[in-house]
Amino acid sequence: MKGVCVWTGNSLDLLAMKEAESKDPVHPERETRLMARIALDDQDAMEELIGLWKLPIFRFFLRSLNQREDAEDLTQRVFIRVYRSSPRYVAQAKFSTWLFTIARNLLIDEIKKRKRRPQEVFDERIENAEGREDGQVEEYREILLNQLDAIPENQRTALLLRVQRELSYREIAEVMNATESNVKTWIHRARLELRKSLSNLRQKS
Amino acid sequence: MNKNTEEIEERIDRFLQAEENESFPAFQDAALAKDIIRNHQDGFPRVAGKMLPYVTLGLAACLAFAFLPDFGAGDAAEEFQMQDSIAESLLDSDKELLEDLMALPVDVGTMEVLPDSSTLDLLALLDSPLE
Repeated sequence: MKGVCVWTGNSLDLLAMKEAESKDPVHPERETRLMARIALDDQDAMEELIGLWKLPIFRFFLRSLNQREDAEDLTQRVFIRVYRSSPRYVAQAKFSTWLFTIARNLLIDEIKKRKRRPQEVFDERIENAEGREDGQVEEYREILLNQLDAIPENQRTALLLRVQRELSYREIAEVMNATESNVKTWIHRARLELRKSLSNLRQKS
Repeated sequence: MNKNTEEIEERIDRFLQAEENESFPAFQDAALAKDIIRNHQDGFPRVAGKMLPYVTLGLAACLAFAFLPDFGAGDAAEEFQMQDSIAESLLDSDKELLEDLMALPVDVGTMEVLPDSSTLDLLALLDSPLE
């Protein structure tokens, strides 16, 4: 019975789950077990889940927003939501799909907030750019950052989930509540835009 | 795909993957876990929240059991009251007739027609000794 976790909420069950996990550390449903323990306020399980997923989530936000502090803040908020949802969590899809759906919802909220304060964001971007060195590499990077920022959110998110997490088109469609063909189109367009921007730079130099 | 395009694609992928050294969040896993568990509960007991539907169902069942006998008792009381009022409304002659019928040794279920009052009078006359 894949992806179904049954627990009755007593400490014996918790011990049994911990034991099973230690015997089988690479179990595909590891997150499901962790979620059941998190629902019982198990701090170790929470820490383990954060350790497993903080980098993918953080990097997704970092590239989506190009803002380190906001990326950290949103990453933490993802885990708060995970904790609060844990008593109701049922593993119906891949854990990563569920997790990135939460992340994307938070990202959309953040983008809406940013639209209300564009000047502030612009200033922060300049600060980021000033902090870096290195000639051509930095130039490429800056162009890609600008181009990634310029493309629509759905194209950027689809591309990031594909490249960073290697999610399938179907999984990305689930996260974004869209069709697979939409996702394919978005990724294609996003790649085309990024490629075009770098090609233009090469031609100039 | 020529070498130039390949290089561009690689550069794009490397950039998107954001795996450079500075791409690590500053917070500590343990500290965040502790903070979340201690400070971000909804206020309602979480396990109790999960058990809430079952508890509600159980309470509803208990209430139903508690009230059902009362409904039954109420019906029975009404029925007795109705029977009393019918008995009071009967004439004395009717009561006697009913008592006679109850006293008959004949199995009522086997009789095709019940005797009327004149038949009973005749039967009573036959039973009485001749003068």
